[in-house]
Amino acid sequence: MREDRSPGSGTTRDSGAEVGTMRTLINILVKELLQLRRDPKILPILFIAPVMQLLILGYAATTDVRRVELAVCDLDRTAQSRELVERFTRSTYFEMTGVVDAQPALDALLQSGAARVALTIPAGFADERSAGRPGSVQLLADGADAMTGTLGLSYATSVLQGSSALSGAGPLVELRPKVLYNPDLVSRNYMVPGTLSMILMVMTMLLTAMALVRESELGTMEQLLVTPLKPQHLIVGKLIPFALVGIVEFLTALPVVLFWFKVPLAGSFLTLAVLTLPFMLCTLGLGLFISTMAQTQQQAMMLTAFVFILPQMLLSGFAFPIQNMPRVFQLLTYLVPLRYYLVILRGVFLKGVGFAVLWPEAATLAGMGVGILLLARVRFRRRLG
Amino acid sequence: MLRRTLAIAVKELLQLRRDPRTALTLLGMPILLLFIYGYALSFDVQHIRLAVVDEDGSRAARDVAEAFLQSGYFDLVSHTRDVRVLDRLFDTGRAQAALVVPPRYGADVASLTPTTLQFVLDGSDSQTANTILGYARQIVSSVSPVVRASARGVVAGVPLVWYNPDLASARFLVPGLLAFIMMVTAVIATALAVVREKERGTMESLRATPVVAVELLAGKTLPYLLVSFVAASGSLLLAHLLFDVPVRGSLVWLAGVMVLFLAVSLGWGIFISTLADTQQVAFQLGLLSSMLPTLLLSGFIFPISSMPAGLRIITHIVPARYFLEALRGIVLKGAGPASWWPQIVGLVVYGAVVFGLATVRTVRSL
Repeated sequence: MREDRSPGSGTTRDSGAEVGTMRTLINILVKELLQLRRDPKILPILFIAPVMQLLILGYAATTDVRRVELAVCDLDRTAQSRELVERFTRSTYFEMTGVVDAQPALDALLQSGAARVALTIPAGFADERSAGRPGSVQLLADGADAMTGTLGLSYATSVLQGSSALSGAGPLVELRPKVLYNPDLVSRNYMVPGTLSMILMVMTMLLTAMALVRESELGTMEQLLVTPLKPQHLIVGKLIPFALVGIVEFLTALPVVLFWFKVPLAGSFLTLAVLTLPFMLCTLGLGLFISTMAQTQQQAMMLTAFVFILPQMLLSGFAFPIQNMPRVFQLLTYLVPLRYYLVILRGVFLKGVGFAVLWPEAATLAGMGVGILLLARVRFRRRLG
Repeated sequence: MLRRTLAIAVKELLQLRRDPRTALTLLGMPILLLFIYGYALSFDVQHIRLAVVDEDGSRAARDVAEAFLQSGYFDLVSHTRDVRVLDRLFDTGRAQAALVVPPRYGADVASLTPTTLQFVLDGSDSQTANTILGYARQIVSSVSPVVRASARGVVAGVPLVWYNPDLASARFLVPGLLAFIMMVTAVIATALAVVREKERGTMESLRATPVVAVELLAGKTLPYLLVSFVAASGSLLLAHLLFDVPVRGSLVWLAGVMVLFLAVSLGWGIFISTLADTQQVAFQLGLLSSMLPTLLLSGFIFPISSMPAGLRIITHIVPARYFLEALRGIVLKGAGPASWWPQIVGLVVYGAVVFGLATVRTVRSL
């Protein structure tokens, strides 16, 4: 609309805008920051939420199985069978939640979820073994809770193997494992750095999408349009405050990761910080993109959470390894920016690698970020026009 | 009273229909998630990127490498004699595991001298690493001739998996997915619907009508109860058709437990709406108090028994925990109320507390 005006007045305004570009930008920035401050409830949420998420995720998202609920049915009742049961209860993997006398009672325990793994030692177990034949016991696992069930089963097998090995049978070839990067196999070292990416993604994407949609929903977008602002000024002015919020949140959450959860940072902080920027470019761009698709704040939130964040989280390798997915889904994961950022995060945290190894990921993210931003800008323009 | 409640419900439904994107998200999200969960996610580790470093070159060394590749779990990414390439392979992530056959391995095996194979693995993802190590042990023990052989002392475990014998991930994830879908649509949609009126100032106009608080809340929640129930039942039906998720227990009990859980979630949504003044705050609170706990603290993916004691206590105030246990009981185990009545008690108590709190706060604010 502004272009329709007389050319003369257009040029003077343009040159004025050139001079005032920085000032305009700063004005929008100040307006956005003031708006954030005006809502007294959003600020605590912005900074408490990430730390809470981190604490919950750090403690809950563990794939180390401990204290698996175990029920035992010892039909043999000999010293040998009791010794075997004790081997199970002594290990930290299992916690005895039921001892029963008959197998049907095990069914009830598994059905109610009171037990995830059940061990049955048949009558005659000790006799078999003293006769020199291998003993055999029955292990039942609850497949409805597949994670606990299968891991419980594999721990049970290793307890049994341990009890076999003690009695003298041994293989000729021994496998000597050497675990790199995370020698104690602590799942927290893998999961917690990943949560940093979630916090960054959720906050920057959601805030950006909401801020722009709020202007159109409240009708204040029209007011901004009649000012001499150009769309790109509006966009940059809107993006910078949220980029700042993202950086502050990252810096708030990082100490929790390093000092509370004591996740070792094998690489350099500088590498991590620099390689985070291209990822933020992507999330901010996606936020802007969402704002061009949504008409109301409700739509913006739902689109962000359910169409952009949740599928990204599931397909990024955050909790479910990409290599286990079928081929088609593996190809889909290449479209997910989070996938690349997780490689960067885990690479820097666990492997201590730097630019030399991570440049392909960083370059992909930067390319994606620029692409998304351009696309969002084109759509934004069209909506304004 | 009923008339006024219905009037608000109809208004809310009309508003939802006028906003096809929200309706589409609410109904489409479950289907999208179901596809991802059913087809893409699995804890079955396959295609492990294996590097073989053969410093021996004997026939026995080739045999053991062959055994790894024949197992079907491993894909060969590199085969060398030089152990120094491993660093680079692991750092770039091109290899996840490496089998290192030391010199003299062949000679040792031939002379029946006890010997070792080295197995290097990327421990970043501890769960995957544990699984890979398990596979490797199995393979090595299958190729290794047992010396000092005596069957005496060996205890074999006969494993049997119940309720989900092939450990299909769809089957165990679907109940959790239902809980998630219901919680999210109920809590977030309800909270947003109420707070939107506040934010736009239309709450004042509603207050000027003869509608009382209870009618307003009932009218606001009814449409979302309907939408969530449809979304959840639809997902279960789809899961049944696509992924063979059985419903072994009674459908009546299933519907009953679902409605109970929905009621609890709606109560929570209303409670949040009394705390928040803007949709943004309502959404953040909803996300933080319902979506995350349902994903993380309900036993959906991560086992509750492995969490630290403090967190295990907190899981008792996550309604999805009770719902999930009952749901798995009904859907996968075909269990009757005798097995899961404690979960129902938990949900009822939870619902009573939440609704009490919500009503007290709403009456005060209106």
